[in-house]
Amino acid sequence: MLPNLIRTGLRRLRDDERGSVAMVVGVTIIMLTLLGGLAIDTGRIFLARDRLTHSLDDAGLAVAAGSIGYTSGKGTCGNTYLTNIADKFVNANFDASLGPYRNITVCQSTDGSGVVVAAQVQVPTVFMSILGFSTVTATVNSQIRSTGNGLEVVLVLDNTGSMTGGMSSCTRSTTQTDGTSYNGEAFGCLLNASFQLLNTLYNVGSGTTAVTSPPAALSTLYVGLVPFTTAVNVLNENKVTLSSSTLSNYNQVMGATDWNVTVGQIVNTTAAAFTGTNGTPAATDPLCAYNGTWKPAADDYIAAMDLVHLAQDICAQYVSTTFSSNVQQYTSGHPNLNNYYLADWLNTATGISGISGVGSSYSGLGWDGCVEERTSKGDPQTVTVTTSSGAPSVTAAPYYDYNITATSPSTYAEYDYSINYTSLTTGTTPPASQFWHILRVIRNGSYLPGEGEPNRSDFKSMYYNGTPTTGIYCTGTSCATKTSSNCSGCTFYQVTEHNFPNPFYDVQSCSSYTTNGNTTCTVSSATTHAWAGGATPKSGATTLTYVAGTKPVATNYYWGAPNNSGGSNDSNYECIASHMAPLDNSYTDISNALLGMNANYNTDQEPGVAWAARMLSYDGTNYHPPFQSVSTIDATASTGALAWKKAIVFLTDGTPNLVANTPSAYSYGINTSTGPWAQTTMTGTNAPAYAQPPLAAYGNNTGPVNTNNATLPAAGSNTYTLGCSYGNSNSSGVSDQAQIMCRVYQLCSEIRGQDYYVYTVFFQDSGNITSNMTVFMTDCTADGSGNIDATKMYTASDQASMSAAFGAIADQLNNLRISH
Amino acid sequence: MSQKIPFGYHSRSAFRRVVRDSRGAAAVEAAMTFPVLIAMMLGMLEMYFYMEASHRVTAAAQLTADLVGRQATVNNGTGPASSTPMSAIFSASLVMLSPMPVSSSVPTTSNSTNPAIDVASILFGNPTVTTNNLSCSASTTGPATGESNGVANYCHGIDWELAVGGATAKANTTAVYTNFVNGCTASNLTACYCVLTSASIGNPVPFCVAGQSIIYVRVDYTYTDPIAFFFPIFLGSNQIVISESAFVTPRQVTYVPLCTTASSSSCA
Repeated sequence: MLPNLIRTGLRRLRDDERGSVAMVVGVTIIMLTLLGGLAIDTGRIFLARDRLTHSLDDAGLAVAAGSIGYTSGKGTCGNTYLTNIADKFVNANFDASLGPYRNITVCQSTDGSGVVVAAQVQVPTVFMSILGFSTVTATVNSQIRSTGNGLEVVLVLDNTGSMTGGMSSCTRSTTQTDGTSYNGEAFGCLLNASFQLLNTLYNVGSGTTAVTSPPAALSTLYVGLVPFTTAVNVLNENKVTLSSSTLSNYNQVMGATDWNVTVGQIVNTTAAAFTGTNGTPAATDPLCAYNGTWKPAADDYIAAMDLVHLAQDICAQYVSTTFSSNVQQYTSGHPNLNNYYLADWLNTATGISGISGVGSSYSGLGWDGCVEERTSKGDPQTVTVTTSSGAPSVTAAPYYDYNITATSPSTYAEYDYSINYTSLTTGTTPPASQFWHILRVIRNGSYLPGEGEPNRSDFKSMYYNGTPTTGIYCTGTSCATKTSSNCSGCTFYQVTEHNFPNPFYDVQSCSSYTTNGNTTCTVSSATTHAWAGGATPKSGATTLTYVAGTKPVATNYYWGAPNNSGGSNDSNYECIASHMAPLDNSYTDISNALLGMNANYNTDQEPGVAWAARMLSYDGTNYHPPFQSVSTIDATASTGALAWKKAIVFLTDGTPNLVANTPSAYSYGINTSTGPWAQTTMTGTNAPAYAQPPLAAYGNNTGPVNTNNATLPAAGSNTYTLGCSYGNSNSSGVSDQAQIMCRVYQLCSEIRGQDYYVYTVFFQDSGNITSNMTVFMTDCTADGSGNIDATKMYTASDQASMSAAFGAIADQLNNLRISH
Repeated sequence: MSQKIPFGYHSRSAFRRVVRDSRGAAAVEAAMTFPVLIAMMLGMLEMYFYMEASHRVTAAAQLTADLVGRQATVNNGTGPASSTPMSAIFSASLVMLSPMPVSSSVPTTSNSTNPAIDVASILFGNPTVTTNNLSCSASTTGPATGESNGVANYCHGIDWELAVGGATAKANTTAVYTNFVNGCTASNLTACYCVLTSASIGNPVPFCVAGQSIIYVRVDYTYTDPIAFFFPIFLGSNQIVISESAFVTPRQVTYVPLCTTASSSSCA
C-alpha cells in the first residue's frame, strides 16, 4: 500500500500546477540574491579601490615632499623610510573595514622629480565567496610629479641714507646688531618687511623680527642678501676660498703657519719671520718674481688681490733692493708701500713690523670690500652669460656696451703694446723680472697692419700708466713735486713718440730735468722701447664706432685704485658696512645679515642687481666666483626636471646717482689700464697672460675689453643711446642718472633672459612715487619666462603697504618653491 | 415541490471550490512573494544609497583636505586678499555631497549644518619656543617613547582648528592625530611618523621638523535613509552619522597658516 500511496502522491505533485509561481519566484530569489550580492560585492570593491586611490594620493604627496628634488634614491623602489611614511597616510585615510591593504610600494622616478606609490587592497566578499572567490584583490597606484624643486632667492635691498627718512608707521622696537634703531624710519619698514618675508619663507609665521629659535634649514630654499648703496660690499670672510695653486704660491713666501688661510689673516706679524716652503723668499718664487708665470686663479677674487701686494713687500725684504725698487715702480697713480691697502680682514692684524714703509700702517687702512658703479673704462665689452638651464650660452652683448652708432669721424681701432719702464734695448724682449705696463693706442680711423705710421692727430687717446698722452712721469716716493712736467728731486722718465712702427714710444729714464722733457731731458740710461705686440692689432681688438661729439675723453672713466685719502677718491668712499650674504639655507645666517644692515650714503641700484644676478648664476658646474661655496645645492639646482627656480626681490626708494670712485662692480678696479689686474691680455714672451678679472657681474669675462671711454650723455638728455628713458636728471642735475637707469634696464633684460623671477618694490612716500620710477621698476620685473610682468612690481609708502607687498611676494615665492 | 437544501451547503461547496480552484493561483502566489522581493529591492537600494553616501562623504573629506593643502594661507572670513577663505572650501565640500540633501548655508563656527566639518592644522614645533600658535610645553603632546626625529626636542599640537557646522573640535582631533603621529611602539619605531631614518635615503628628514604640518579634516554627515525600511528595523532610526577623515600634507608650503585679520601678520 505504502509504495502506492507514495507513487500516487508524487504523481499528484508532479501533475499539480498549483503553486507554480512560488516555485519560479523561489528560484528567482536565489538568482536575484546572488546577482544582488554580486553587485554589492562589486560595489564594495570599487569603493575600496576608490578609497585606496584617495589614500595613495595623500600618501604620495607626503612621500614626494620628502623625496622629490633629491638625487638620492632616484630610480629605485622600496625605500623603507618612504614606505613607512606612505603606510602612515594610507593607514590614516583608508577604511580598513573595506579590507586590508598591503604591498605598499614607493618608487622614485629616474629623474628624481616624482614618485609612484602603489598598493593593493584585499576586499573580502560575501556573495562571491559562494562562487569560490572569498576575496578580490584590487591594485591601485598614484603618481606624483613635482613642478618645482626648490628656490634660490636673493634680496636686493636699498640701504641708502634716504631710507632713514622718518615714516611714523614704521615702528620697529628691535635694534640692529650695532645698536642702531630704525624705529619710525623708512628703513624700519624695510627691516620689518624683510623679516616678514624671511619668516614666511621659513614657515615660522610672518612676524617682523627674527624668531628666537631659528627653524631648521629647509632643503629646498636658499636665500641670499645684497644690500646696496652706490656700492655693494662683497667681502665675506668665511666664504673666500683660495685655490690650491694660489695657496701653494703664497706658501712659498709666507709659510703656511704665517697666516690663517681660513680667515685670510696674517698670523705672523713679523716680516723677518716669514719663511716660505722654500725657505727665505727668493726671486725665483713666482709671487716674488711676479714675472708672469703666476697669476691668481680667477676664483681667488679679492683675497689674492691684496695678498699679492703684501707678499711682494715681503719678497722685497729678502730679494734685492733692485727688486724692491721694481716693485715700487708700480708707481704713480698706483699704491706704493705708503698707500697699500689690504683687505678688510687684514685690518685685524696688529701691524707688520720689519717692512719698510709699512709697519703698523697696515692696520686699519684696509679696503673695506666695496665695489661700485663705473662708467665705461675697463668694463668688459662682452660677457658670458648662462642660460636658465645652467648650461653656458653664447657670449652676449653686455649692457654697458654703449652701442654707439656710427656716423663720424668713422672708426678707430685699439692696440695694446707692452713697454718696459727700465733699461731695454730696442727690439728686445724685456727680461721677465721687469714690470710691464700697457700702452694703449686708439687710433682714429681704420687701421691696417703695416700701413705705416699713423699721424699724431689720429690718436684720440693714449693711456700710459694711467695718464693719457706723452710727457714726463715721475717715479719714486721722494719727489717734492710730481706733475707731468715737473719731477723735481726724484727719478723720472719721459715718454716720447717715435717713428712707427718700431720703435713707437720711447721711455727714457732721466737723471735731470730741465725745462721740456721732450727736448732737453738728459738721458742717463739706454732709451728703451719695445713692441711686444709688434704692429699687429691686439688679438680680439674691437673696432668701435662712435658718434661725432662723443670722442673718447680720458677723464670720463674712473680708476678705482685703492686710495685711502678720505675724500671722494677713497676706495672706501660710500662703502657700506652691510655685507652681502651669499646664498644660504641657514635662517640664522640670513637673519644676522639683515640685522647687520645699516642705511647710509647715496643710491645706485646697478651694482646691487648685478651682484644678485651673479649670486644666482650657475654655469652648469659651479656658481660664479666668489660664490662657489654654495656648491651644496649644485646637484639639485642643475638642469632639467630638478632645476631650481631663481628669484630676485629688488627694493629701492629712489633714483640713482653716480659716485664712481671705488673698484668697479664688474671688475676689481686697481687701475685697470695699467695694473696687473688689467683686463687686457698682455702680450710678449714673458708677459703675464692674466685672466679677465673675476668679479664681473656675470662671471669670468673672456671677451675683448671695452676701452671705449665715451662720454656720458649730456646733462638734460633723457635718452641714453640704449634707447631707454626714465626722465632726465635729478635735482642736482647729474646726468649720470639716465645712464645708470638705462644700465639697470639692460641688466634686468639680461636677467630676464635667464628665466629668473624678479619682483620689484618701489618704496617712497606716496607723493613721491613717480611714474618714471614705477615704469623703471616695472621694466625690471621678470616672470620666469623672459617677460616683464607688471604684477610683480609693487609700490609701498608705509608699513601696511610694505607688509602687503612683501607678504604677496613671499606667497608667490613659496608657490615657486614647492608645487607638487 | 421544493427541495430543501441543507444550510451551509453553498458555503461549503464554495470553499471547496475555492480550495480546489486553481484559477488565480499565480496572483495569490505573487501577492505572497512580492513583499519579499520588494523588501530585497528596498534593502539593496538602501545599501546602495548608503554606500553612495559613504563614498560622497569620503570624497568630501578628501577634497576639503586637498583644497586646504593646496593653499598658501587660508582665512576664516577676514584675511589678506592673497589668502583663501575657508568658506569657499566648505562650499566646495557641500557640492561634493550633492545631490544628497545638505544645509543650504555654508557651515560656520556659529551655525549648525549638515555636514559638520572639522579642519585642523597639526603643527610640529620646538618645545623651547612658540612656533606660530603652537606653544610646546612639558604637557604638550610630545614624542612617544623611543620616538625621535633627530631634533633634540620637538612636539606637535593643533596650531589652529576650525570646527564648523556643529563639529566637535580639539579633544577628538588630538586623539586622532596623536595616534597618527605616534602610533608606534618601542619595538616598532619605524612605524612612527617622526622617526628619523633619513639616512637610508640620504636626504634631510622632511617630517616632524619645526614649522611643518599636517592637515586633518573630518566631515560628519548625518545621513537620512530615504527609504527607511531596514534602517529603522536594525538601527532604530533612519539616520546615521557618517564620519570620514583625511590627512594630507600641504602642497605649496610646509605649513598653511590661518589668517584672522586683513593684515598678513595675523596669519599664524
